[in-house]
Amino acid sequence: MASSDRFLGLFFEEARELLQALEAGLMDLEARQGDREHVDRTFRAAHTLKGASGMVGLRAVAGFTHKVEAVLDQIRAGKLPVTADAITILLRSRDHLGAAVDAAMDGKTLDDPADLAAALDALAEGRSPAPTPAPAEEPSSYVVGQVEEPTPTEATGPGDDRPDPPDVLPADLMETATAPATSYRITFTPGADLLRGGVNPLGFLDELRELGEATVRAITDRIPPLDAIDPTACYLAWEIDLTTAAGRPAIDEVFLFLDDPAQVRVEAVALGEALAPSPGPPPPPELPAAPPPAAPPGEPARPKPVVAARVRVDAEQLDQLVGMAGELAVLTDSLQGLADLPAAAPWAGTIEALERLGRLLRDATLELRMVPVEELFSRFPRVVRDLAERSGKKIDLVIEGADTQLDRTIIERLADPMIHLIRNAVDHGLETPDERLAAGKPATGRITIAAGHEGDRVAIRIGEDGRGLDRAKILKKGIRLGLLPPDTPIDDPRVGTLIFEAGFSTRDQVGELSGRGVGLDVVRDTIRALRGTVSLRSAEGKGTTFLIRLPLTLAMIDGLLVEDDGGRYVVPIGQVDECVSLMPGELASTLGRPAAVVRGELVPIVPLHHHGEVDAGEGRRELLLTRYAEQRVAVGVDRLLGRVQTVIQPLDPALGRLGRYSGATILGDGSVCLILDLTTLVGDARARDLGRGAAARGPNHDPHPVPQR
Amino acid sequence: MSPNQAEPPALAVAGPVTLEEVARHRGAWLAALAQGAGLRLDLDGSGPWDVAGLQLLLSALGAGGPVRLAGMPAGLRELAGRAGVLDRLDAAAV
Repeated sequence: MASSDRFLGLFFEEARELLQALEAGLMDLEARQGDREHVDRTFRAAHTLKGASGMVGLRAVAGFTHKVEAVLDQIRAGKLPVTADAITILLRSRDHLGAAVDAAMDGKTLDDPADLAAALDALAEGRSPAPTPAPAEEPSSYVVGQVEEPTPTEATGPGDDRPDPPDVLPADLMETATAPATSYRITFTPGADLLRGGVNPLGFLDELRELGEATVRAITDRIPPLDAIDPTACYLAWEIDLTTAAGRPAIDEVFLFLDDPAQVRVEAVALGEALAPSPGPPPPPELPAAPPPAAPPGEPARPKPVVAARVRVDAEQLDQLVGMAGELAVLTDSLQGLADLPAAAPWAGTIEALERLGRLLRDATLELRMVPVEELFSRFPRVVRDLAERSGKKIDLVIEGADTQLDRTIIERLADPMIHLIRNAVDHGLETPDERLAAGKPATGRITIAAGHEGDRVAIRIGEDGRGLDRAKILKKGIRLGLLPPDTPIDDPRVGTLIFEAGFSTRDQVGELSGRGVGLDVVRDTIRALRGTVSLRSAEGKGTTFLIRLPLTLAMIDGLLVEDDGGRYVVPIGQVDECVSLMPGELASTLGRPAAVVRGELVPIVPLHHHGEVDAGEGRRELLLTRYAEQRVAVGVDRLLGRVQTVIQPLDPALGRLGRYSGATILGDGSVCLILDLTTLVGDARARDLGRGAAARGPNHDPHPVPQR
Repeated sequence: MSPNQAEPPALAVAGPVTLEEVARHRGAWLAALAQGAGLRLDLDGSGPWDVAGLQLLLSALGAGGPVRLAGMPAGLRELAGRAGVLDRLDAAAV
């Protein structure tokens, strides 16, 4: 029963899921302690993790999980009430297990935190645990797929590159022999499937022998004669008389990963009492005679290969598949014209079918990348719970639209910014219970996280009903920092977006929970990098809501193909509010800069190329209307060529540094075309404008300019 | 065994006797036993053994028929010792 790398790899995948299931179960346990099914499910997650980690030789993990399982067993037997303290201890234990599994992936062993182990033991034994200190260091980020690292008491070095083989009992599991030797009679009746499960029962006997003086008697009277036996079933049983100072827990440890504890009976016998052979083994489980039964009773000791309804796929391979399917779709699309040629008539049907299949294949593979945001949102109840505990605020978390689907890569990268926004909400937004009551609000604050589709985008809202932005304070600081002109009115939309600027915090001291130099500017940049946008709405005294808009997928782009100054570019449709034609003579200006009048509103125009100037006399121009810092801006191009849907190719790093290009794509005619990022384009243009203006104004040029009217 | 009785037929057991092979060995031993004259299992070419093989051997010995064991390899003896059944195998040895 050797642990191979493959088994270990499967274990780590399974462990991750089990830990998630365990956490989810624990989070609801307080509210659902009467729900027998829920408690059982939570128990089983721990139980399965214990068995699986023991199977691959991770004894420390198995041992610690055993403690968690013992507490859950007490809960499900109704012998231990579920209190908030108990849940906190269990959740911290789960965190430790996550860290221990992660450490095991690197071949290291993590020591069990002694206070946590003691607290679990106390709970399992019905004593009230001593208060455990909160983890000293706050985790810096939560990332989907990983678990936060609490402060490990000690990580033992890489001396063990492979996990211990499970057959030998390491010395550290034996208690020091301060107790006097005790005699036990152990009856071990393996289930019929033990051998088929790859388990060697003699291993247990060997371990028992290591604990002290052992006399082993085999019980063979259940073995059928040769013509009746099912040769792969296990009929052997054993009775072991063991005298040891190691204590009962050491004996239990030997059988730790035996799936059915009913297979072992341990009785302490007073020293000196004659150990007569017992009359017989305990009633054995139903044994099959040949032929073996179709469904083996009980659970095998080794995780069965599951023919599942889902398969695991390597992420990189999936991306490659999506890329290829996308290129195929482009190629087949370009066959469109071919089908109309008379000479191609015999193949018209085939060509059409090819086109259709290409599109279907592309769409189907793209769908493989989609996962429900639930995967991301499921971490948040825990985050909010911890934040509420630390801040002393009462918080209700409401989650909506968790089944909304989003590209897997986007979801992974959303975790950090969303966690930051949640921390922001708790730290800056929500008031303490006393403050809320004084303001006539309920003592418990509410955070709402909602996801939904808006056209071809996904919108995610993170809102709270707290104190709302203090616009006066923000305005004051903005003016003081030179980010806004002194006469800016308080309802100016730029006031709201100032909090996204780097280093901007109206707190004199950064908030304990959120202000670690990771500001909202990083949140904004991360979301921009995902080709999304973030904005906010706030009302003083009522609360603040952040709104994140994201494309459904990063792999494909739905864009407008435009031509300007002889070059072709793709502009993401999501960035364009509308297209307007500018006829000759319609060019207006505002503050000396070109502008257009759109439904009575003066919209400044930014040329695509910074060396190009918008010239009224030169014929018709097309304007792509977009938003920048809550203002409408137009980007002028020569022509609109139509809509495209193509797979994105990443850019050469050198080009990528010109922030205005977010990628490239291959058009149907095989030509490569750059993808424009309008937001960066407009932002750069503004910076240049301000630069010119600042040069005119004087030497104190602000590196973070804000568009001026 | 009385010297006047014919020696039981011998069956050489070769190769592994583990979970993978026990079904096959069982068939062979049953076929040999069906001839009705007992059986001597020559084990010196056999191995490795595991608990399934050991159990099959005990099953054959428990048949009540005269099954004898010859040439037990060291690995089998060690396994039987750990399992607490060495005395039973020795009792059936020629």
